[in-house]
Amino acid sequence: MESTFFGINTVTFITNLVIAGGIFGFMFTMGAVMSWSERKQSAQLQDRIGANRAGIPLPGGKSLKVWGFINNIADAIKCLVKEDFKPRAYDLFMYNLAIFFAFIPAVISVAVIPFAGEVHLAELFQSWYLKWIPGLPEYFATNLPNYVFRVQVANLNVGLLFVFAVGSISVFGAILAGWSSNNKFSMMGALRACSQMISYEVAMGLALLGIIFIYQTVDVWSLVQGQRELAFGWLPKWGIVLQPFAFFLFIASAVAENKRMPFDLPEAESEIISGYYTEYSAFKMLMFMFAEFIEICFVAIMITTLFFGGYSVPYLMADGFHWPWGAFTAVSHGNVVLLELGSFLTKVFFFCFLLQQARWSLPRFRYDQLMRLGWKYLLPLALLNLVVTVIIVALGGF
Amino acid sequence: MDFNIFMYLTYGVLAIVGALGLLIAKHPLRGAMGLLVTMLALAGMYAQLHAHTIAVFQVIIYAGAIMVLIIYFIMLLDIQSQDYIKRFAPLFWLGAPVVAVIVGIFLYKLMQILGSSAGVMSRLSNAPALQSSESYGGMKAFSTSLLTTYTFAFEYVSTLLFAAIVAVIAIVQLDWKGQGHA
Amino acid sequence: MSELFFDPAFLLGELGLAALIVVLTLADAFRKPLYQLFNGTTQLSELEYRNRQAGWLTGIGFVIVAALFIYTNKLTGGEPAILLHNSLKAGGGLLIGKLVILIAGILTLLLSIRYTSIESIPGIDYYLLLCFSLLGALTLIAAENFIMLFLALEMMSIPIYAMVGLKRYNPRSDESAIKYLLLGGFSSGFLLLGISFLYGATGSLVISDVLTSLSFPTIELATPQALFGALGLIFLFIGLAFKVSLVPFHAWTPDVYEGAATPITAFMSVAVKLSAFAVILKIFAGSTSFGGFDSILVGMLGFFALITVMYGNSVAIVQTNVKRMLAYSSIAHAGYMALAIAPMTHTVDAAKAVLFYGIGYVAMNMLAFGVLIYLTRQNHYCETLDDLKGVARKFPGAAAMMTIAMFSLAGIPPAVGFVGKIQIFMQLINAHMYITAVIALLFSFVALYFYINVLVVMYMKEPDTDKTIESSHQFPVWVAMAASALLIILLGILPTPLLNWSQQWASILF
Repeated sequence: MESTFFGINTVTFITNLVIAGGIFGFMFTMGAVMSWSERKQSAQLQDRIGANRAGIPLPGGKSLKVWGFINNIADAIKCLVKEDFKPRAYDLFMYNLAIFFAFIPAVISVAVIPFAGEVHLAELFQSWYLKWIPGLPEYFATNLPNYVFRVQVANLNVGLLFVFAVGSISVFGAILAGWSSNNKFSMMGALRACSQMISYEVAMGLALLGIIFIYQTVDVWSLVQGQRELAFGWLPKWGIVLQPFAFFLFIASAVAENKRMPFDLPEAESEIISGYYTEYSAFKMLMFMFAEFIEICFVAIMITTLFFGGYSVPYLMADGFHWPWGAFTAVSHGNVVLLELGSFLTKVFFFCFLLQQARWSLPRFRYDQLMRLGWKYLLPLALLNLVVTVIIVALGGF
Repeated sequence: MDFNIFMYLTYGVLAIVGALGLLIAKHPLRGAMGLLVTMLALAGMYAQLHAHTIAVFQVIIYAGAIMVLIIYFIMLLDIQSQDYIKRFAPLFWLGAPVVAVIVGIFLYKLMQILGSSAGVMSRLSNAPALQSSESYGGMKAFSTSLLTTYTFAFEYVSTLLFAAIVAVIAIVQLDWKGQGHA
Repeated sequence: MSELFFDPAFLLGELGLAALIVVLTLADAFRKPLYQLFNGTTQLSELEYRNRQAGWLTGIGFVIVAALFIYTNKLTGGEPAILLHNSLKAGGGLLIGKLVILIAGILTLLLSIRYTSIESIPGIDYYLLLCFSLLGALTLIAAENFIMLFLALEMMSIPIYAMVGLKRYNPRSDESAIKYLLLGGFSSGFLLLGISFLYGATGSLVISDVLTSLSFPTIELATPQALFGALGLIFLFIGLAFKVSLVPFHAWTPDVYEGAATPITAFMSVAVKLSAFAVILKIFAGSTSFGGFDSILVGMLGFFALITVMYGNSVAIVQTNVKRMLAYSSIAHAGYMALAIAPMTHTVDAAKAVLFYGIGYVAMNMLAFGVLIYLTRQNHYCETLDDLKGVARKFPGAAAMMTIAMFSLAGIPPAVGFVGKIQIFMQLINAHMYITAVIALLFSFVALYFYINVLVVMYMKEPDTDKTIESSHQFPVWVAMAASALLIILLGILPTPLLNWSQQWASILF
């Protein structure tokens, strides 16, 4: 197996390609799923039925509606074929560039998140769901008996900081969109978005410093490994257990960073139409919306990874469940991978739901309240949290 | 050629392109975008050298904070007057030849040293692959050297920031007649 | 020389200055209760109290810091050491440099006390920034690696950018602050570029390591290391030349000197120039010879220094504003100082000549600007030659002081400027650069014209308007002027102690 591709081992290259495709594909799917669930949930909270008209006609007079999910496809087609209005912008190049700045950072930060633990390729192909593929299980068992990979696109040793770096780039999307639209409402939206994102980025970073301090790493993989350990022999060392306070700070600032309700001042409909993307129409508008939904999903992923043990299932080790009372339940490798993946996705879906729930539950802040919350409450509290954490760690607490 | 080195060179070219964009762009905002390209390309270069921490800080601090501030202010100024949207000042044509001659001499010297341009390519393709190591480029290595070798510089920077804050307050707090003492 | 991680004994003065900054800040934060406390004894407005408090604290602090420097010398036995992982050099002859810079600070403070209240500059900002800038200058001359060098240079410059702009109601002050900030930032860019080239060429940031591992076998610069090293040194020189305002990097000087508050101009023209020159000496004129690159440097430095002298002295002739004239004269003086190292002899004598000249220049420029400050009244600037007309009749003391300053700046014996110029020319003659020496000498005769012209205006012209308004609180200015004048005369007649001191300071650069 010495075949290489650009100096990278071919098997590594292919597995990485599959993982990257899978994870980014998951993010795109989540964008669609989220936009559908948001509509349905809004409908539920407003005592409506919600999207349910579009469907694929089936033979026999019925049509496939999937509880309104097909509406998404209809919307996408509509946006694609619609007329694309162009404003008399200052700068059409910037106007178009803004979409990429909004969209790409939303997608790529997921690259450092592990979706499941280490996977043993040969053993994986012995599992019940992959055994049936002709030839491959035998091929891997003989040629690559010890090949192990991680379900993570990029194993960066500064992964957590990478997330911040990419997040800080996404500000440009809002700024450029608002500036180049040549519209006062867009400009206002961009200014609001910019100052809000800068302000809450600080609180968010400081809230996470405690986590970094406890697990002694900025590598997301090691962070999850650290959360798999047990305190007192039974309590998983999840972030929420060790840093409950940081969890609330993080969730507040991450939602604000995401410009979601109750922090959605940059696109407050009643004041500034649609904020910085007022002047975007058709598919370009869809890209902004899509990016936003992907960002919600990413916030859920971050919460899961940092505070709820990532993919880890309590007491599940590589070979099975080691229960706190000493019992042991063996689980095959294929099932362990499935369990981990399932645990990760379940947590992510739950937090996606929670974040969506906030939209119709909370009223919007006023701008001064928003700034005061960010700088005068979240920031000092995050610092306080850090100080307390440092003192406890110094006293040998964790 | 090692893939890392290939990417390193690509980022290098990108950085130069961005810098040229900054110089040539008519509108300040486009210039700022050119600068942003340079910043990101530099981060890429650091990453290719396995200095991951520096790469990420380059993005967070330069691209994410400083460039945002610069663009924020360009945006607030709302520059539409043609006076500001000139490509080159008249004096540019005075300075450009001087710089061109200096850069030319430098490149000539460099080429002389490295042999022909074919020599450059062979040097590059024979360059050893860049290796990452535990003790280099990571957060731990970065923090360790920051708090041992460069402790004093690190603390000195905090004093410098204090000085800068005082300087800014001193400049902005006066009202126009110089009478206000906030 | 011993290498220590950290020994507070070596850095007592700097730590004292840092403590002074903290005390100043805290005292200003608690100024209201303090005002209530002292209200019974002082009959001052709250504002006036605030300024007085800052001034007094700074003054006392500076004196304590000066005492700490002397005490450091006693504690460490005059032995230098390298501290904090090659961050700073401390002790030994460096203390002389630090004391000189601190004295420049004290003189600035004395000159400022009345001036700030005339210009309604808030004292606390002013004095805090002065302290920061001094701290920067003190660390700059002690910096042992390039990171510290850059940081200290910024620490010295950033407060000055703000101080230049403190006369906010004066558009010229704003303009000069922006000019200085932009060009200063530009020069820092050059400096950093040079540092990164040097780092690339040698793989080290420690100045002494960099200098010893640079090698220039031939003048052709035929190795990558030599090429990048040479580029690094040239950029570094450009960055520093901005600070000392050598032609062609001088463009900011006249405007900034004119626009800034006069005490700040005085401080800038001496402390910044002296410490930046100390760095130039350390890197370019230190014990390490640059081999083949030396001959390039001789040409470069000689050329820059000579055109600086020629340009500064000739343009100064046509100035009608005394501050501008002094700015051009300060450009010319930077040229003289650079001339002394132009032969690139790498000897202690060359460095000594520059430092001697620099220290003498502190006294003479402080005196010249001090007289201008003394003559400044509320709503009446003393900046142009017209303002000086017939001043000698009303203020014979001030006129006498100005005479001493101008004689010294022109290099007329027995002032210290004369000894300084002799030192400089000796370096050129020893290196057989006769033509350069002759040209520089000719231009110092040109300089005589505009220095003497000031005196002519003061003594021989009829005053235009009535300028008899005396103002109170002139005592500190008098102290500063008297001290500077005394130094000029004393050191001019008996230069040996100063020569020894600059010798000690110079030898630590090697």
